[in-house]
Amino acid sequence: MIRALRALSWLRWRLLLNSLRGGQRRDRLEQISRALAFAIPAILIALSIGSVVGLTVIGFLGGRALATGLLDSTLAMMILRIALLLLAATIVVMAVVSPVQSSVSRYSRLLLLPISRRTLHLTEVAASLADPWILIIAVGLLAFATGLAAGGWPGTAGMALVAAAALLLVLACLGSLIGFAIAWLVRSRRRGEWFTLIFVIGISVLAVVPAMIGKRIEDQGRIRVQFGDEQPAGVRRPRTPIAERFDRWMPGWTIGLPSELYAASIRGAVAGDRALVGGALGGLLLEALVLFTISSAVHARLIGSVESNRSRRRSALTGTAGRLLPMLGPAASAVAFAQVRTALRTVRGRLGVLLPGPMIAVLVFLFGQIGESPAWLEAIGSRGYYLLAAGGIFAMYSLQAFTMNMFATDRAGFTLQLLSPLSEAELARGKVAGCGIVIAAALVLCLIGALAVAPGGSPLLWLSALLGLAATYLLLSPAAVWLSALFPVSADLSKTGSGGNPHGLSMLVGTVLVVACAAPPALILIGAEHWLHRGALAFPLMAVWTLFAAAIAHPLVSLASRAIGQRRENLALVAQGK
Amino acid sequence: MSERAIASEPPERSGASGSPRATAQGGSGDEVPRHRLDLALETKGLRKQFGDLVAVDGIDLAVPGGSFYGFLGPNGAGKSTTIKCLTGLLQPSGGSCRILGIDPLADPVAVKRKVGVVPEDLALFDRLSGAETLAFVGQVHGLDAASVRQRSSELLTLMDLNGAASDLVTDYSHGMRKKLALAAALLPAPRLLFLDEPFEGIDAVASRQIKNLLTAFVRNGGTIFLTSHILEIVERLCDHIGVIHKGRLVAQGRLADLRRNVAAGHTLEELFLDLIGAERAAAPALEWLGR
Repeated sequence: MIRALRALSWLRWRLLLNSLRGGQRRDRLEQISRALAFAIPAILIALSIGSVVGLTVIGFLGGRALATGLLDSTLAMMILRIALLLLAATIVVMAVVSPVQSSVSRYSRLLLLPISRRTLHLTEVAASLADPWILIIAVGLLAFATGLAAGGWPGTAGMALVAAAALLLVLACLGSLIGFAIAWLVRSRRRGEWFTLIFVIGISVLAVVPAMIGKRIEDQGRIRVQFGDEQPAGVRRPRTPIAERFDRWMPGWTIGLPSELYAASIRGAVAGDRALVGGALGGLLLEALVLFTISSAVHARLIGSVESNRSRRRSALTGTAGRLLPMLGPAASAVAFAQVRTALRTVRGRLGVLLPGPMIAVLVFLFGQIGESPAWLEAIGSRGYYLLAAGGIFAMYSLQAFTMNMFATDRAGFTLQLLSPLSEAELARGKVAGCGIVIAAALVLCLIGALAVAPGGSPLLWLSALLGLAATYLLLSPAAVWLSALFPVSADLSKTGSGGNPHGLSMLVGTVLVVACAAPPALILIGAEHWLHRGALAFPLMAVWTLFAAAIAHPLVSLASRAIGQRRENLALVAQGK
Repeated sequence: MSERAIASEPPERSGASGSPRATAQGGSGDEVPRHRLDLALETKGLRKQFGDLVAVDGIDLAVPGGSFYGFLGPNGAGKSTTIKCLTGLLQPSGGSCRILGIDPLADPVAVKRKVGVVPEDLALFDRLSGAETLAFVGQVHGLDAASVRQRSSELLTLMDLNGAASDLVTDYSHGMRKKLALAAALLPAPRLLFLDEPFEGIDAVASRQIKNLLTAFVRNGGTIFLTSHILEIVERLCDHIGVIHKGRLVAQGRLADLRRNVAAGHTLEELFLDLIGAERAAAPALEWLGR
């Protein structure tokens, strides 16, 4: 068992190092590109060191303040519970989009080796203890226990350490269970696509839940003041302590949450309530055991399952054969149609198209329910064409997986394009047109969503918003071609995780450029309506801007397409997944 | 090992400048020598280097038009790299090349209009259906919609893919993908076909169909440049072979001549092993195995 664990740890380490090194057959630029791809996560890790240090200091000071009586224990416990709840939720979310999915492919190889399935499972669970989020919690909890000891409560500190270990065990088992379950779900392409769609939409909607809850608490308070214990005029009603309000708000079932059990064990230790401590610790260990057992079963199911890419859908035969797009020849049109089809048949593509419109509409609706929103949000929410513009920008951002990696996303299909009698300019124009059609499809849904939520306003302003988005994409397209040719990344667009992302640098530059290219149309729209008070003027101004963008984009795309020729060999290798 | 001179090699290599195939008309100096027109594919000192690794080391290929040329070599010898250089997927580090009389480095699009390729990774869009893949290839080659439909239908029938024409390629088996890749290569009616291991992973029935198809293609004047590990297939189909070993071309010419000159009466396997010197390499005994 130890030998197998050692070998698997070594395997993880070597895989990481070798992925940094790349193959011998790569040129300098590709090696730099790979190094940059790792540099951005490294920068993020470096930045997160600050949070770890901060959490350590807060944990230590919190523990010490609690032990020395500087901090009210109920308030301290509330902060601890909220922090742990949020971190545990982060672990759950990260487990969904995280590494277990991408490492599934190696199971088949590992299963051929003399390693028992139990050892494999144990290794995976143990590996999840090294998850950065779990490490952050571990550091914080350790600092908290140290603070308690430094404050003169060594017994409570010891109990806090035991409870922390139990909590980490629960979180590791939970993270593993979710990871295995997700990996099993995505073993079937169709099952995986449905899951991803529901997950992303669910997460987006959940994002506004805290605001809605805040409103609920406020409303409850208001109702109580209006109909309940009204105070005589001039008598100031003492505010309920925030910790009490939090306790009242937390539903009863949350007592079983690992973070709550941990807090209960500390509370019990502080109060000298052994029964509470024992119950809470027992609860944590029981949860760990249950989760470990379930995760073992799911893991067994995962490694016994067969990967399936089957699709029940049967596509149309040759729907677009011979059809030409305006201003494009047959070859570029064929590239564009292939791009549209392949994009719309991937999870990332469907999400990019389906998500922005409904999400904008749902968010505006939900914020409307909350009541008081920021002024800028109210302004956007009340004018549909601004919503349309915001949705369009969001669509451009969410479709970066295609626009900023337009060649490598075709994988072997790109080899076919390289082998076809296509000039580089035709290839680039076809790709730009194809990505443009995909974004346009998302815009149609944004338009429907915006019209449903805020249909008012002059049609000319709506048209201006559409023209502005077209101009934004046109200006973005040369950079998209250039970045896609220079920094291609072999991407799996059937997943929403980082495996489908473009190169980190392309994403970063792309994000900045989307905002920069959208700024002039936004200024035209806002300027005409609010500064000049002549909304109708927005349309001619925007038309001129769009023509200008088209006039610039056309030669620049041709210029950028030269990068395809210069990087053809590297693009071919990336398309082959090398 | 130096390249072995074969009697049937193109005249400029064998030094037979007075051969009737040496020039087209024997006229002015800038006329293209006739033997050059007869060669569907010709390389001079073709070289591909990755860092310190020399994958293809200055090879001189001469593939006569209308021939079925088998390009053999052990694993890692440089076969696929050569095909990638010839089809534009890799940029040669040195040397020159002419395909159907055109320099592919100077005018790659013109060459691609005339050749079909089934590469190592098959080069198919996962998320297009079989029929859509063929429609894409037809449109890129500038064929009209009616021709694309007719040719696609015939090719899909021939490849026994009609029932799966509207399924996505991602749902195809390896053999079906291979047949689709071949159909895509044949659809624009190329004059030269590059096939990288076309029979690997193919069942006996499909293999027979493909062999018949390729034989008919050559009979009608087409040229095939094929790499394969299956020497029996090469022996049965090819009339010319080239053998590459460690990036160098160690033999080239008509199969019959090679057999006669290099290893009289031997099978292609024996000839191949002799050319790459496999017998001479002393294999370790692995005495620990089976204890």
